[in-house]
Amino acid sequence: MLEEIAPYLGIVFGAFLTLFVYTILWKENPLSRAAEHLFIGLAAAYITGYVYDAAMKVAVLTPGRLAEGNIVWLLPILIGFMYLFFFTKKYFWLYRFPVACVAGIGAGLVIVGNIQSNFVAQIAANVRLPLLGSQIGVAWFPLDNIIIILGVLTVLSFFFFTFEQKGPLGISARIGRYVMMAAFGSAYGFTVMARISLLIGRLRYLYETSEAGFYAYYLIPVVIVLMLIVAYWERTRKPSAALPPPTPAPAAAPPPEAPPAEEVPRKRKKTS
Amino acid sequence: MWEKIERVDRRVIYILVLILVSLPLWFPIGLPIPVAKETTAYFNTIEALPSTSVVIFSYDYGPSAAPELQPMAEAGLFHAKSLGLRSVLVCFWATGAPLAVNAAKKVYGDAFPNVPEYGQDVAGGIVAIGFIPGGAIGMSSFASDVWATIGVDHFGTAFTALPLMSRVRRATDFGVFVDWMAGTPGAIQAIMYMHGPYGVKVGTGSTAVGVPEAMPYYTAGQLFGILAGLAGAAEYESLVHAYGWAPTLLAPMDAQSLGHVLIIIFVVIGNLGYAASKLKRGG
Repeated sequence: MLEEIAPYLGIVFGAFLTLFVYTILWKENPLSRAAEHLFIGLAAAYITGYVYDAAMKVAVLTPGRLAEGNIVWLLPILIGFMYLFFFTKKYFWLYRFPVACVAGIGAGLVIVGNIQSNFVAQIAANVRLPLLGSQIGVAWFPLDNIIIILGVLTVLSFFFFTFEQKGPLGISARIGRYVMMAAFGSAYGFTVMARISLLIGRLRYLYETSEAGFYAYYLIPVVIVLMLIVAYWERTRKPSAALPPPTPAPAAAPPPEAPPAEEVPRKRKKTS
Repeated sequence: MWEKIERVDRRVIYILVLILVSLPLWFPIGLPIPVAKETTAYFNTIEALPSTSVVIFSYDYGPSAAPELQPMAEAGLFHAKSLGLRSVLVCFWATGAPLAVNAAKKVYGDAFPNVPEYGQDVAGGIVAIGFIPGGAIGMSSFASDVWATIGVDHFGTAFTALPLMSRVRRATDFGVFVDWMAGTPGAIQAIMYMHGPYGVKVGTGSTAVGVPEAMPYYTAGQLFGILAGLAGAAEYESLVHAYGWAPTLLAPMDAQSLGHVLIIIFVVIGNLGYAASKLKRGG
Protein backbone atom coordinates (compact mmCIF):
# COMPACT_ATOMS: atom_id res chain seq x y z
CA MET A 1 0.00 0.00 0.00
CA LEU A 2 2.70 2.46 1.08
CA GLU A 3 4.85 1.52 -1.91
CA GLU A 4 1.97 2.31 -4.25
CA ILE A 5 1.26 5.75 -2.89
CA ALA A 6 4.90 6.70 -2.18
CA PRO A 7 5.56 8.23 -5.62
CA TYR A 8 2.37 10.29 -5.39
CA LEU A 9 3.24 11.41 -1.89
CA GLY A 10 6.65 12.48 -3.16
CA ILE A 11 5.10 14.53 -5.95
CA VAL A 12 2.54 16.20 -3.67
CA PHE A 13 5.24 16.86 -1.07
CA GLY A 14 7.56 18.30 -3.72
CA ALA A 15 4.83 20.52 -5.13
CA PHE A 16 3.96 21.98 -1.74
CA LEU A 17 7.62 22.46 -0.81
CA THR A 18 8.14 24.35 -4.08
CA LEU A 19 5.33 26.72 -3.21
CA PHE A 20 6.57 27.03 0.38
CA VAL A 21 10.05 28.05 -0.78
CA TYR A 22 8.71 30.65 -3.19
CA THR A 23 6.65 32.29 -0.45
CA ILE A 24 9.89 33.91 0.75
CA LEU A 25 9.58 36.28 -2.21
CA TRP A 26 6.64 37.81 -0.38
CA LYS A 27 8.23 37.97 3.04
CA GLU A 28 10.05 35.82 5.58
CA ASN A 29 7.59 33.26 6.96
CA PRO A 30 7.49 29.91 8.79
CA LEU A 31 6.61 27.93 5.66
CA SER A 32 9.70 29.01 3.71
CA ARG A 33 11.89 28.56 6.78
CA ALA A 34 10.54 25.05 7.35
CA ALA A 35 11.28 24.14 3.73
CA GLU A 36 14.80 25.57 4.00
CA HIS A 37 15.58 23.70 7.19
CA LEU A 38 14.21 20.48 5.76
CA PHE A 39 16.42 20.91 2.71
CA ILE A 40 19.55 21.61 4.76
CA GLY A 41 18.97 18.57 6.98
CA LEU A 42 18.24 16.26 4.07
CA ALA A 43 21.21 17.55 2.06
CA ALA A 44 23.59 17.04 4.99
CA ALA A 45 22.38 13.49 5.54
CA TYR A 46 22.47 12.73 1.82
CA ILE A 47 26.01 14.04 1.33
CA THR A 48 27.25 12.18 4.40
CA GLY A 49 25.80 8.91 3.13
CA TYR A 50 27.10 9.39 -0.38
CA VAL A 51 30.61 10.34 0.67
CA TYR A 52 30.74 7.36 3.04
CA ASP A 53 29.66 5.08 0.21
CA ALA A 54 32.28 6.55 -2.14
CA ALA A 55 35.02 6.24 0.47
CA MET A 56 34.09 2.59 0.99
CA LYS A 57 34.32 1.98 -2.76
CA VAL A 58 37.69 3.73 -3.10
CA ALA A 59 39.44 2.41 0.02
CA VAL A 60 37.76 -0.92 0.69
CA LEU A 61 35.90 -2.44 -2.27
CA THR A 62 38.28 -1.56 -5.10
CA PRO A 63 40.33 -4.68 -5.94
CA GLY A 64 43.68 -4.83 -4.14
CA ARG A 65 42.62 -2.66 -1.21
CA LEU A 66 41.38 -3.18 2.33
CA ALA A 67 38.88 -5.90 1.44
CA GLU A 68 41.79 -7.94 0.11
CA GLY A 69 43.99 -7.28 3.14
CA ASN A 70 46.01 -4.30 1.88
CA ILE A 71 46.24 -2.47 5.20
CA VAL A 72 48.10 0.52 3.70
CA TRP A 73 44.65 1.85 2.88
CA LEU A 74 43.95 2.20 6.59
CA LEU A 75 46.28 5.18 6.56
CA PRO A 76 44.09 7.58 4.52
CA ILE A 77 41.05 6.42 6.48
CA LEU A 78 42.77 7.21 9.78
CA ILE A 79 43.94 10.58 8.47
CA GLY A 80 40.36 11.26 7.39
CA PHE A 81 39.02 10.40 10.85
CA MET A 82 41.40 12.99 12.31
CA TYR A 83 39.00 15.62 10.97
CA LEU A 84 36.73 14.67 13.89
CA PHE A 85 39.21 16.17 16.35
CA PHE A 86 37.84 19.52 15.23
CA PHE A 87 35.15 18.97 17.85
CA THR A 88 37.55 18.55 20.81
CA LYS A 89 39.47 21.30 22.54
CA LYS A 90 42.22 19.06 23.87
CA TYR A 91 43.14 17.31 20.60
CA PHE A 92 42.17 20.05 18.18
CA TRP A 93 45.78 20.20 16.98
CA LEU A 94 45.41 16.73 15.43
CA TYR A 95 42.74 18.16 13.13
CA ARG A 96 45.46 20.17 11.42
CA PHE A 97 47.11 17.09 9.89
CA PRO A 98 44.33 16.18 7.41
CA VAL A 99 43.83 19.88 6.66
CA ALA A 100 47.57 20.22 5.96
CA CYS A 101 47.46 17.18 3.65
CA VAL A 102 44.52 18.50 1.65
CA ALA A 103 45.89 22.07 1.56
CA GLY A 104 49.33 20.90 0.45
CA ILE A 105 48.11 18.59 -2.30
CA GLY A 106 45.47 21.10 -3.41
CA ALA A 107 47.92 23.99 -3.54
CA GLY A 108 50.43 21.96 -5.54
CA LEU A 109 47.81 20.89 -8.06
CA VAL A 110 46.22 24.32 -8.38
CA ILE A 111 49.52 26.15 -8.84
CA VAL A 112 50.64 23.86 -11.64
CA GLY A 113 47.23 23.71 -13.29
CA ASN A 114 46.60 27.42 -13.00
CA ILE A 115 49.93 28.50 -14.43
CA GLN A 116 49.60 26.11 -17.33
CA SER A 117 45.94 26.48 -18.24
CA ASN A 118 44.81 29.84 -16.90
CA PHE A 119 47.97 31.88 -17.40
CA VAL A 120 50.33 30.61 -20.10
CA ALA A 121 47.65 29.10 -22.33
CA GLN A 122 45.43 32.20 -22.10
CA ILE A 123 48.31 34.55 -22.92
CA ALA A 124 49.40 32.34 -25.81
CA ALA A 125 45.84 32.23 -27.14
CA ASN A 126 45.61 36.02 -27.05
CA VAL A 127 48.97 36.43 -28.77
CA ARG A 128 47.90 34.02 -31.52
CA LEU A 129 44.66 35.87 -32.30
CA PRO A 130 44.94 37.14 -35.89
CA LEU A 131 44.28 40.85 -36.38
CA LEU A 132 43.70 40.35 -40.09
CA GLY A 133 41.80 37.51 -41.65
CA SER A 134 43.41 35.11 -44.08
CA GLN A 135 40.80 35.55 -46.77
CA ILE A 136 38.80 38.34 -48.34
CA GLY A 137 35.16 38.01 -47.42
CA VAL A 138 33.39 37.40 -44.17
CA ALA A 139 36.53 36.61 -42.21
CA TRP A 140 38.85 39.30 -43.54
CA PHE A 141 38.22 41.69 -40.68
CA PRO A 142 38.06 39.70 -37.42
CA LEU A 143 36.27 42.28 -35.27
CA ASP A 144 35.88 39.80 -32.40
CA ASN A 145 39.62 39.36 -32.14
CA ILE A 146 40.28 43.10 -32.21
CA ILE A 147 37.74 43.66 -29.43
CA ILE A 148 39.29 40.87 -27.35
CA ILE A 149 42.82 42.21 -27.72
CA LEU A 150 41.78 45.81 -27.04
CA GLY A 151 39.75 44.63 -24.07
CA VAL A 152 42.67 42.71 -22.57
CA LEU A 153 45.10 45.59 -23.00
CA THR A 154 42.79 48.30 -21.66
CA VAL A 155 41.66 46.24 -18.65
CA LEU A 156 45.29 45.46 -17.83
CA SER A 157 46.05 49.18 -18.00
CA PHE A 158 43.21 49.83 -15.52
CA PHE A 159 45.09 47.72 -12.97
CA PHE A 160 48.42 49.41 -13.70
CA PHE A 161 49.09 51.60 -10.68
CA THR A 162 52.80 52.39 -11.04
CA PHE A 163 52.04 55.71 -12.73
CA GLU A 164 49.20 58.13 -12.23
CA GLN A 165 46.34 57.27 -14.57
CA LYS A 166 46.22 60.37 -16.75
CA GLY A 167 46.92 61.12 -20.39
CA PRO A 168 46.96 58.05 -22.70
CA LEU A 169 47.11 55.70 -19.69
CA GLY A 170 44.04 57.40 -18.21
CA ILE A 171 42.11 57.05 -21.48
CA SER A 172 43.10 53.40 -21.74
CA ALA A 173 42.14 52.76 -18.11
CA ARG A 174 38.77 54.42 -18.66
CA ILE A 175 38.10 52.25 -21.72
CA GLY A 176 39.17 49.26 -19.61
CA ARG A 177 36.60 50.25 -17.03
CA TYR A 178 33.89 50.35 -19.70
CA VAL A 179 35.00 46.93 -20.95
CA MET A 180 34.68 45.53 -17.44
CA MET A 181 31.26 47.13 -17.06
CA ALA A 182 30.19 45.43 -20.30
CA ALA A 183 31.49 42.12 -18.89
CA PHE A 184 29.53 42.65 -15.67
CA GLY A 185 26.44 43.42 -17.72
CA SER A 186 26.92 40.22 -19.67
CA ALA A 187 27.33 38.26 -16.44
CA TYR A 188 24.15 39.87 -15.08
CA GLY A 189 22.27 38.88 -18.24
CA PHE A 190 23.40 35.29 -17.89
CA THR A 191 22.41 35.36 -14.21
CA VAL A 192 18.90 36.52 -15.11
CA MET A 193 18.73 33.73 -17.66
CA ALA A 194 19.82 31.18 -15.05
CA ARG A 195 17.32 32.33 -12.45
CA ILE A 196 14.43 32.30 -14.90
CA SER A 197 15.56 28.83 -15.99
CA LEU A 198 15.29 27.65 -12.41
CA LEU A 199 11.79 29.11 -12.13
CA ILE A 200 10.86 27.37 -15.37
CA GLY A 201 12.26 24.14 -13.96
CA ARG A 202 10.02 24.31 -10.92
CA LEU A 203 6.99 25.33 -13.00
CA ARG A 204 7.63 22.36 -15.29
CA TYR A 205 7.77 20.14 -12.23
CA LEU A 206 4.41 21.47 -11.09
CA TYR A 207 3.07 21.02 -14.62
CA GLU A 208 4.27 17.42 -14.72
CA THR A 209 2.51 16.60 -11.45
CA SER A 210 -0.64 16.39 -13.54
CA GLU A 211 0.70 13.05 -14.83
CA ALA A 212 0.27 11.73 -11.30
CA GLY A 213 -3.20 13.17 -11.03
CA PHE A 214 -2.16 16.10 -8.85
CA TYR A 215 -2.74 19.31 -10.69
CA ALA A 216 -0.36 21.52 -8.73
CA TYR A 217 0.22 23.70 -11.77
CA TYR A 218 -3.28 25.03 -11.46
CA LEU A 219 -2.39 26.39 -8.05
CA ILE A 220 -0.36 29.12 -9.78
CA PRO A 221 -3.36 31.32 -10.74
CA VAL A 222 -4.67 30.79 -7.21
CA VAL A 223 -1.31 31.92 -5.82
CA ILE A 224 -1.32 35.00 -8.08
CA VAL A 225 -4.83 35.99 -7.00
CA LEU A 226 -3.94 35.46 -3.33
CA MET A 227 -0.82 37.61 -3.74
CA LEU A 228 -2.88 40.40 -5.32
CA ILE A 229 -5.47 40.24 -2.52
CA VAL A 230 -2.81 40.37 0.19
CA ALA A 231 -1.03 43.22 -1.59
CA TYR A 232 -4.29 45.17 -1.82
CA TRP A 233 -5.07 44.45 1.83
CA GLU A 234 -1.61 45.57 2.95
CA ARG A 235 -1.92 48.81 1.02
CA THR A 236 -5.41 49.71 2.20
CA ARG A 237 -5.44 48.57 5.83
CA LYS A 238 -5.60 51.24 8.51
CA PRO A 239 -2.28 52.54 9.83
CA SER A 240 -3.31 51.52 13.38
CA ALA A 241 -3.34 47.88 12.36
CA ALA A 242 0.04 48.14 10.76
CA LEU A 243 3.40 48.51 12.41
CA PRO A 244 4.05 51.96 13.91
CA PRO A 245 5.54 54.29 11.31
CA PRO A 246 9.18 55.22 11.76
CA THR A 247 9.67 58.30 13.89
CA PRO A 248 11.05 61.19 11.85
CA ALA A 249 14.52 62.30 12.83
CA PRO A 250 14.74 65.64 14.65
CA ALA A 251 15.60 68.63 12.51
CA ALA A 252 18.78 69.36 14.43
CA ALA A 253 20.36 66.82 16.71
CA PRO A 254 21.45 68.20 20.08
CA PRO A 255 25.19 68.36 20.60
CA PRO A 256 26.43 65.11 22.12
CA GLU A 257 27.49 65.19 25.69
CA ALA A 258 31.16 64.73 26.28
CA PRO A 259 31.67 61.12 27.31
CA PRO A 260 33.63 60.27 30.42
CA ALA A 261 37.29 59.85 29.64
CA GLU A 262 37.37 56.16 30.62
CA GLU A 263 34.32 55.17 28.56
CA VAL A 264 34.35 54.41 24.86
CA PRO A 265 31.65 56.51 23.20
CA ARG A 266 29.00 54.43 21.41
CA LYS A 267 26.79 55.81 18.71
CA ARG A 268 23.16 55.00 19.39
CA LYS A 269 20.34 55.51 17.00
CA LYS A 270 17.89 58.05 18.30
CA THR A 271 14.40 56.66 18.67
CA SER A 272 12.63 59.79 19.82
CA MET B 1 4.95 59.32 -12.12
CA TRP B 2 8.51 58.26 -12.96
CA GLU B 3 9.44 58.25 -9.28
CA LYS B 4 6.53 55.89 -8.59
CA ILE B 5 7.67 53.61 -11.39
CA GLU B 6 11.22 53.73 -10.10
CA ARG B 7 10.00 52.59 -6.68
CA VAL B 8 7.65 49.89 -7.97
CA ASP B 9 7.00 47.17 -5.41
CA ARG B 10 9.26 44.20 -6.14
CA ARG B 11 6.28 41.89 -5.67
CA VAL B 12 4.60 43.42 -8.72
CA ILE B 13 7.64 42.32 -10.72
CA TYR B 14 7.41 38.82 -9.22
CA ILE B 15 3.75 38.50 -10.19
CA LEU B 16 4.39 39.71 -13.74
CA VAL B 17 7.37 37.34 -14.11
CA LEU B 18 5.27 34.45 -12.80
CA ILE B 19 2.45 35.21 -15.23
CA LEU B 20 4.70 35.70 -18.26
CA VAL B 21 6.85 32.64 -17.52
CA SER B 22 4.00 30.27 -16.71
CA LEU B 23 1.68 31.18 -19.59
CA PRO B 24 3.88 29.81 -22.43
CA LEU B 25 4.15 26.49 -20.61
CA TRP B 26 0.39 26.18 -21.03
CA PHE B 27 0.17 27.85 -24.41
CA PRO B 28 3.50 27.53 -26.31
CA ILE B 29 4.21 30.28 -28.83
CA GLY B 30 6.82 28.49 -30.93
CA LEU B 31 9.49 31.17 -31.09
CA PRO B 32 12.47 30.22 -33.29
CA ILE B 33 15.63 28.87 -31.63
CA PRO B 34 18.72 29.98 -33.57
CA VAL B 35 21.78 27.83 -32.84
CA ALA B 36 24.87 29.54 -31.39
CA LYS B 37 28.31 28.80 -32.83
CA GLU B 38 29.48 27.35 -29.49
CA THR B 39 26.64 24.82 -29.60
CA THR B 40 27.38 23.94 -33.22
CA ALA B 41 31.06 23.50 -32.35
CA TYR B 42 30.13 21.08 -29.55
CA PHE B 43 27.79 19.11 -31.80
CA ASN B 44 30.28 18.92 -34.67
CA THR B 45 33.12 17.73 -32.42
CA ILE B 46 30.99 14.86 -31.09
CA GLU B 47 29.89 14.04 -34.63
CA ALA B 48 33.51 13.87 -35.81
CA LEU B 49 34.61 11.33 -33.20
CA PRO B 50 35.56 7.84 -34.41
CA SER B 51 32.72 5.44 -33.65
CA THR B 52 34.77 3.42 -31.14
CA SER B 53 35.66 6.48 -29.05
CA VAL B 54 34.90 6.67 -25.36
CA VAL B 55 33.13 9.82 -24.19
CA ILE B 56 33.45 10.66 -20.51
CA PHE B 57 30.38 12.53 -19.24
CA SER B 58 30.93 14.21 -15.89
CA TYR B 59 27.74 15.14 -14.03
CA ASP B 60 29.04 17.91 -11.81
CA TYR B 61 25.86 19.50 -10.59
CA GLY B 62 23.02 19.00 -8.18
CA PRO B 63 19.24 19.21 -8.24
CA SER B 64 19.35 23.01 -8.06
CA ALA B 65 21.02 23.18 -11.49
CA ALA B 66 19.12 20.21 -12.94
CA PRO B 67 16.46 22.33 -14.72
CA GLU B 68 19.23 23.82 -16.86
CA LEU B 69 21.64 20.90 -17.18
CA GLN B 70 19.56 17.72 -17.08
CA PRO B 71 17.97 18.25 -20.54
CA MET B 72 21.37 18.75 -22.21
CA ALA B 73 22.89 15.88 -20.22
CA GLU B 74 20.16 13.55 -21.46
CA ALA B 75 20.37 14.80 -25.04
CA GLY B 76 24.18 14.51 -24.93
CA LEU B 77 24.02 10.89 -23.81
CA PHE B 78 21.40 10.13 -26.45
CA HIS B 79 23.58 11.77 -29.12
CA ALA B 80 26.58 9.64 -28.10
CA LYS B 81 24.50 6.47 -28.09
CA SER B 82 23.02 7.28 -31.49
CA LEU B 83 26.53 7.63 -32.94
CA GLY B 84 27.58 4.29 -31.43
CA LEU B 85 30.05 5.97 -29.08
CA ARG B 86 30.89 4.41 -25.70
CA SER B 87 29.86 6.50 -22.70
CA VAL B 88 31.32 6.52 -19.21
CA LEU B 89 29.34 8.46 -16.62
CA VAL B 90 31.23 9.90 -13.70
CA CYS B 91 30.71 12.74 -11.25
CA PHE B 92 32.84 14.75 -8.89
CA TRP B 93 29.82 16.15 -7.08
CA ALA B 94 28.05 13.72 -4.75
CA THR B 95 24.69 15.03 -5.93
CA GLY B 96 25.45 14.22 -9.55
CA ALA B 97 25.37 10.42 -9.31
CA PRO B 98 21.58 9.91 -9.15
CA LEU B 99 21.11 12.53 -11.88
CA ALA B 100 23.54 10.60 -14.09
CA VAL B 101 21.56 7.40 -13.48
CA ASN B 102 18.31 9.26 -14.24
CA ALA B 103 19.76 10.49 -17.54
CA ALA B 104 20.87 6.96 -18.41
CA LYS B 105 17.41 5.60 -17.58
CA LYS B 106 15.85 8.20 -19.84
CA VAL B 107 18.11 7.18 -22.74
CA TYR B 108 18.60 3.44 -22.15
CA GLY B 109 15.27 2.69 -20.50
CA ASP B 110 14.05 2.15 -16.96
CA ALA B 111 15.81 -1.23 -16.82
CA PHE B 112 19.20 0.51 -16.72
CA PRO B 113 21.77 -0.80 -15.73
CA ASN B 114 20.26 -4.16 -16.75
CA VAL B 115 20.61 -3.39 -20.46
CA PRO B 116 22.72 -5.32 -23.00
CA GLU B 117 25.08 -2.40 -23.55
CA TYR B 118 26.01 -1.97 -19.90
CA GLY B 119 29.72 -2.50 -19.35
CA GLN B 120 30.21 -3.82 -22.88
CA ASP B 121 32.66 -2.50 -25.44
CA VAL B 122 29.98 -2.34 -28.13
CA ALA B 123 28.21 0.46 -30.01
CA GLY B 124 26.37 2.46 -27.36
CA GLY B 125 28.24 0.74 -24.54
CA ILE B 126 27.95 2.48 -21.20
CA VAL B 127 29.35 2.37 -17.66
CA ALA B 128 28.21 4.50 -14.73
CA ILE B 129 31.18 4.93 -12.41
CA GLY B 130 29.33 7.29 -10.12
CA PHE B 131 30.75 9.63 -7.54
CA ILE B 132 34.50 10.06 -7.06
CA PRO B 133 35.36 11.97 -3.88
CA GLY B 134 38.09 14.56 -3.57
CA GLY B 135 36.84 17.34 -5.85
CA ALA B 136 39.59 18.67 -8.11
CA ILE B 137 42.13 16.30 -6.52
CA GLY B 138 39.85 13.38 -7.41
CA MET B 139 39.56 14.71 -10.95
CA SER B 140 43.33 14.95 -11.29
CA SER B 141 43.75 11.43 -9.94
CA PHE B 142 41.05 10.15 -12.31
CA ALA B 143 42.93 11.67 -15.26
CA SER B 144 46.26 10.14 -14.33
CA ASP B 145 44.99 6.65 -13.43
CA VAL B 146 41.31 5.73 -13.56
CA TRP B 147 41.68 2.26 -12.11
CA ALA B 148 43.86 3.43 -9.22
CA THR B 149 41.33 6.13 -8.36
CA ILE B 150 38.34 3.81 -8.12
CA GLY B 151 37.89 0.18 -9.14
CA VAL B 152 34.14 -0.36 -8.92
CA ASP B 153 31.20 1.26 -10.67
CA HIS B 154 28.17 3.00 -9.18
CA PHE B 155 26.48 -0.34 -8.56
CA GLY B 156 29.49 -2.00 -6.93
CA THR B 157 30.63 -4.06 -9.94
CA ALA B 158 34.41 -4.36 -10.26
CA PHE B 159 35.94 -2.81 -13.40
CA THR B 160 37.50 -6.19 -14.14
CA ALA B 161 33.97 -7.46 -14.88
CA LEU B 162 33.22 -4.55 -17.24
CA PRO B 163 34.95 -5.04 -20.63
CA LEU B 164 34.47 -1.40 -21.61
CA MET B 165 36.59 -0.23 -18.67
CA SER B 166 39.60 -2.15 -19.98
CA ARG B 167 39.87 0.64 -22.58
CA VAL B 168 39.53 3.42 -20.03
CA ARG B 169 42.66 3.54 -17.90
CA ARG B 170 43.97 7.10 -18.15
CA ALA B 171 43.09 10.46 -19.69
CA THR B 172 44.79 9.67 -22.99
CA ASP B 173 42.15 6.97 -23.51
CA PHE B 174 39.31 9.49 -23.41
CA GLY B 175 37.87 10.47 -26.79
CA VAL B 176 36.52 13.65 -25.21
CA PHE B 177 35.65 14.75 -21.71
CA VAL B 178 32.29 16.51 -21.36
CA ASP B 179 31.54 18.29 -18.11
CA TRP B 180 27.99 19.26 -17.24
CA MET B 181 29.05 21.87 -14.76
CA ALA B 182 27.44 24.06 -12.15
CA GLY B 183 30.57 25.17 -10.30
CA THR B 184 33.78 23.75 -8.90
CA PRO B 185 35.02 21.17 -9.76
CA GLY B 186 33.82 21.52 -13.30
CA ALA B 187 35.05 22.13 -16.82
CA ILE B 188 37.66 24.68 -15.69
CA GLN B 189 39.30 22.04 -13.49
CA ALA B 190 39.01 19.53 -16.34
CA ILE B 191 40.95 21.97 -18.51
CA MET B 192 43.59 22.25 -15.81
CA TYR B 193 43.98 18.52 -15.14
CA MET B 194 43.02 16.88 -18.43
CA HIS B 195 43.41 19.29 -21.34
CA GLY B 196 46.61 20.89 -20.05
CA PRO B 197 48.68 17.84 -19.07
CA TYR B 198 47.15 15.19 -21.39
CA GLY B 199 45.68 17.16 -24.29
CA VAL B 200 42.18 15.73 -23.77
CA LYS B 201 39.48 17.64 -25.64
CA VAL B 202 37.15 19.16 -23.05
CA GLY B 203 33.64 20.41 -23.74
CA THR B 204 31.00 21.68 -21.38
CA GLY B 205 27.36 22.28 -20.83
CA SER B 206 27.23 24.99 -18.23
CA THR B 207 24.64 26.77 -16.17
CA ALA B 208 24.11 30.24 -17.58
CA VAL B 209 25.86 31.74 -14.56
CA GLY B 210 29.04 29.84 -15.44
CA VAL B 211 29.13 30.78 -19.12
CA PRO B 212 31.01 34.11 -18.78
CA GLU B 213 33.71 32.23 -16.86
CA ALA B 214 33.91 29.46 -19.46
CA MET B 215 33.82 31.64 -22.57
CA PRO B 216 37.51 32.74 -22.56
CA TYR B 217 38.52 29.07 -22.58
CA TYR B 218 36.40 28.50 -25.67
CA THR B 219 38.00 31.49 -27.40
CA ALA B 220 41.43 30.14 -26.47
CA GLY B 221 40.60 26.71 -27.90
CA GLN B 222 40.75 24.99 -24.51
CA LEU B 223 37.05 24.11 -24.72
CA PHE B 224 35.77 22.59 -27.95
CA GLY B 225 32.21 23.77 -27.33
CA ILE B 226 29.83 25.24 -24.79
CA LEU B 227 26.15 24.58 -24.28
CA ALA B 228 25.10 27.78 -22.53
CA GLY B 229 22.37 27.19 -20.00
CA LEU B 230 18.79 26.37 -20.92
CA ALA B 231 19.16 28.16 -24.26
CA GLY B 232 22.19 26.04 -25.14
CA ALA B 233 20.30 22.92 -24.16
CA ALA B 234 17.37 23.90 -26.39
CA GLU B 235 19.72 24.61 -29.30
CA TYR B 236 21.48 21.28 -28.81
CA GLU B 237 18.15 19.44 -28.59
CA SER B 238 17.14 20.96 -31.91
CA LEU B 239 20.35 19.56 -33.47
CA VAL B 240 20.02 16.10 -31.88
CA HIS B 241 16.39 16.03 -33.03
CA ALA B 242 17.78 14.69 -36.33
CA TYR B 243 18.53 11.41 -34.50
CA GLY B 244 15.00 11.14 -33.13
CA TRP B 245 15.39 13.01 -29.87
CA ALA B 246 12.11 14.62 -28.86
CA PRO B 247 12.82 18.25 -27.87
CA THR B 248 11.60 19.06 -24.38
CA LEU B 249 12.50 22.74 -24.22
CA LEU B 250 10.40 24.44 -26.90
CA ALA B 251 7.79 25.80 -24.49
CA PRO B 252 10.35 26.58 -21.75
CA MET B 253 12.36 28.65 -24.23
CA ASP B 254 9.23 30.67 -25.03
CA ALA B 255 8.88 31.26 -21.31
CA GLN B 256 12.56 32.20 -21.07
CA SER B 257 12.27 34.70 -23.93
CA LEU B 258 9.18 36.36 -22.47
CA GLY B 259 10.85 36.54 -19.06
CA HIS B 260 13.85 38.26 -20.62
CA VAL B 261 11.65 40.75 -22.47
CA LEU B 262 9.97 41.66 -19.19
CA ILE B 263 13.30 42.13 -17.41
CA ILE B 264 14.55 44.33 -20.27
CA ILE B 265 11.40 46.45 -20.07
CA PHE B 266 11.84 46.86 -16.32
CA VAL B 267 15.53 47.74 -16.67
CA VAL B 268 14.64 50.41 -19.25
CA ILE B 269 11.73 51.80 -17.21
CA GLY B 270 13.82 51.79 -14.03
CA ASN B 271 16.61 53.72 -15.69
CA LEU B 272 14.20 56.18 -17.29
CA GLY B 273 12.64 56.74 -13.86
CA TYR B 274 16.07 57.23 -12.35
CA ALA B 275 17.06 59.72 -15.06
CA ALA B 276 13.75 61.59 -14.77
CA SER B 277 13.95 61.91 -11.00
CA LYS B 278 17.57 63.03 -11.27
CA LEU B 279 16.60 65.71 -13.80
CA LYS B 280 13.76 66.84 -11.53
CA ARG B 281 16.19 67.22 -8.65
CA GLY B 282 18.47 69.17 -10.97
CA GLY B 283 21.25 66.58 -10.71
